[in-house]
Amino acid sequence: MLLGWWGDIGSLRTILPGLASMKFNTALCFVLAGLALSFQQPSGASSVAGVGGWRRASLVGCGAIIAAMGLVNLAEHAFSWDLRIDQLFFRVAGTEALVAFPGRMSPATAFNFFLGGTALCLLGVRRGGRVIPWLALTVGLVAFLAVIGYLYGVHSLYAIQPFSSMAAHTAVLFLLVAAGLYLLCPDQTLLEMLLSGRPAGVLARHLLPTSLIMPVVFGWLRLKGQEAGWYDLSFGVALLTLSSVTIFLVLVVGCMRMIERADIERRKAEQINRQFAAIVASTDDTIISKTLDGVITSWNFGAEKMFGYSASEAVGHRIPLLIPEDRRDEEPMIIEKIRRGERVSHYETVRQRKDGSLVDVSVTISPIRNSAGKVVGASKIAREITDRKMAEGKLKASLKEIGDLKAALDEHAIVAITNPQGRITYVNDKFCAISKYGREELLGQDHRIINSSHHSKAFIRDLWSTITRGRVWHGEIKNKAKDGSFYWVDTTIVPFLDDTGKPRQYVAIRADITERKRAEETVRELNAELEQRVAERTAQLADANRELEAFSYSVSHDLRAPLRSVDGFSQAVMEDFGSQLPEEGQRYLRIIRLGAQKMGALVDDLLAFSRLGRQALSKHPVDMNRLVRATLEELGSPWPDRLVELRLNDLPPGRADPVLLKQVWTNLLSNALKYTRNRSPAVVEIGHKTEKGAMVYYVRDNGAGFDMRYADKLFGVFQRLHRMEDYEGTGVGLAIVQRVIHRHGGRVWAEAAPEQGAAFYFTIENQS
Amino acid sequence: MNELNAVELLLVEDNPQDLELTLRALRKSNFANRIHVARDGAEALDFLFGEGAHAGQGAGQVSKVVLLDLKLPKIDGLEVLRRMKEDPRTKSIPVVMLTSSREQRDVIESYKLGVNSYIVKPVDFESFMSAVHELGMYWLLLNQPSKGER
Repeated sequence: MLLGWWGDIGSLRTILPGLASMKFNTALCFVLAGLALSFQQPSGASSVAGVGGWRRASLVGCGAIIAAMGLVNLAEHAFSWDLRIDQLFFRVAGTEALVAFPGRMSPATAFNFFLGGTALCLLGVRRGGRVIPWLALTVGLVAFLAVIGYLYGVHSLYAIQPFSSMAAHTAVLFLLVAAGLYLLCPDQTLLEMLLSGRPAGVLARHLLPTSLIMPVVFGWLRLKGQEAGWYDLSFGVALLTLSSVTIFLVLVVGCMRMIERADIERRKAEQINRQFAAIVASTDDTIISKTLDGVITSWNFGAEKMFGYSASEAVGHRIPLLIPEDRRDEEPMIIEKIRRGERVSHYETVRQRKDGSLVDVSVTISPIRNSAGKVVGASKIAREITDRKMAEGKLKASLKEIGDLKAALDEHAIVAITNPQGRITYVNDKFCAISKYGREELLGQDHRIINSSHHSKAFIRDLWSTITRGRVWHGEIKNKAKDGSFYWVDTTIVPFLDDTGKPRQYVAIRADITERKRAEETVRELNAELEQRVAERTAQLADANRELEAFSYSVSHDLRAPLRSVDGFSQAVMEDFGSQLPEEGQRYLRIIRLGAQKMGALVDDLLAFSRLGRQALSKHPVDMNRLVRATLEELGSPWPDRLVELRLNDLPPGRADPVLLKQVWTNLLSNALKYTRNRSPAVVEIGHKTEKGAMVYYVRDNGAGFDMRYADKLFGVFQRLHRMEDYEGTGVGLAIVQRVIHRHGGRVWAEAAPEQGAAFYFTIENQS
Repeated sequence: MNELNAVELLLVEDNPQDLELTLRALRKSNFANRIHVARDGAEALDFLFGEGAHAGQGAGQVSKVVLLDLKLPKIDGLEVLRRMKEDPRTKSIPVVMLTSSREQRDVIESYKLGVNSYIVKPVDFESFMSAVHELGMYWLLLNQPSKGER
């Protein structure tokens, strides 16, 4: 067009002859607008987010020039000025100069340029986001009006003043500029709505062509029909009205159907939505949605439960509310990922409840996109894993404990694990050490590798049948090490069963008892030796006993016979020849007889004493009171002219051989009576006392007593502390007492002083 | 039954001194009639069963009592007692053990074998005298022996 002006080529200035031509300035403005628009990206982020400043400058610059041009032209039209800007670049010559201002653009064009330029400026300075679409719309409508004017051949529609009309191609270009302007608007919601698959967009897309084209077409037909004289004005109006009504009816029905369909779909979707909402609301999992700025937009029941905030408390607040101080840096990272459209899966972290307590959570965060696919927020599904963490903690603790136990076990015991086929699957260091095999030599082998052949087949069979039945086997096993030496192990084999009750593996825990076994062997040998020795000794003792028996038998039989002879024949001499013997001879014979009788008493006592050692004890409960009374009765009254005071205290019962114990009482009581011979009254006290937990019986008298210096001789055989002339006796009685008491496991002792009496004490049980 | 050989008392004693003292004691108590003395167990059994030196004399010639020492040459007193008590011919003859042994073993064994009395010879001759006197009194004078099995 510019070329057309420069080259004065009319055909290039106007499309159809006779119609308005595009003016040079108009074309220039279009070029500028085209340049400004083409520098910009049609829409979207980049134009907004920091593109080069020159682009904005170009917008502002071009916009300013165009707006100024428009304003100047308008001013010229309005105030009939002639600033001659029309001729600024090119002078109009020829026929064109017939009009008042041949190079001047029409007011509508100028108006449009003013609005469009303003819009471009606003775009450039990023202001008036709301105004620009209206500016663009106005520009478009003015241009559309011009187009309709051309279509209907109505001059007034494109020419406000004669000779200053908007050219047809100018109008078309304005439409384009309007579209371009609109596309550059930051707010693309209308367009988005129109292009979207949503019912509104669909409906608009359906209605737009009809509502744009049909009125124009019908209007044109009606106009042309009337012009052709087919009908008059009123009929045309009626026809137009009818057709408009019809179109609108069709459109209304179409809309109705479409909205109905959309509504059904929407309701379906709502139904589904409600289900999802119900799921979201009812789940224990926390489901939160938030904007990319971190503002919470939804908050379900699970979230309430987990964090303690109600939905009303949470929605609208920012996510960091839930993040403990030390984790605040996580959120930007997450948001950045989400912004990139990535998803954060099962991210384990810690969040903070309303009450300040912390909760272990596993979060999955996914981006939420709008219908255009743009990330507008994030959905966050969180699950509390405190329990799991705790379980993990416990598991870790129990694993640690098991580890510790195993370490302790390995420190103490020989451990091996065997599979159900009997193959070794695990051995610890101690096992290797004692068996002297390397681990790799043992693994995969069965226990025959350390079999010592010591145990019977039945033993091994019993072992296996026990553990294959799932029972614990315990026993001592002799094994053979690699070097052929043997060792003993105390073994416990614990079978571990699988779900079906079949052994899964056997764990054998052994302790080295070789030393103990060796010691036991030694003890056994020693015992055997000891038993042998005891048997020998016993045999020797039995021999000695037999000899002693034979000896005492002959003593009792043969020793007494000569004594009897001595005595008997002495008596015979006295009887038969007593008259012939002088008194002195008779006295000698009496001495001989006394000697023989004394000898007889000694032999009898000695035999009784030796019998005590051989006689078996037969212990029974003994009523001491009865025993003492019986003894006293037997002793009779060898003290017819004596005054004797018997103090008989109640005695507790004991456990003893009654025959032998009676001998003890007999000897002690007869002694007491004997040695109190010169006392009047003689006092003999029989009683008991408890000493160091033992029952002590005693016989105390007020008789001759004895010197305690000789107390050690008291109980010796044939030991006497008194002269024969004073107190007769063989010196065996107390020896017998001691022997009986010792055989009962008791103790006997005396306390005395010369002429102060004596006391004899005895016990009949071990002092325990 | 040969009345000549019928004795009231059989004294079995190997020790000559004891024998003499015993006889003296019996004599003193006037029990010296019809006493036969055997010096060992074998001789005693021969006399009792009419064997050996006493062959042909028949058995069981003792009417009142047998005084038996325990320790005897050849066959001891317990064996003599056992055989007497086993044999129906001599079973009912009273047997008194007159012995030096006061061993409990001997006493028990004697009574088990069926002895009628057990007397330990005292060393003291006076006690011995009185013991012999008492046993003579009882067995020779007071006791009525069974005659059914003769």
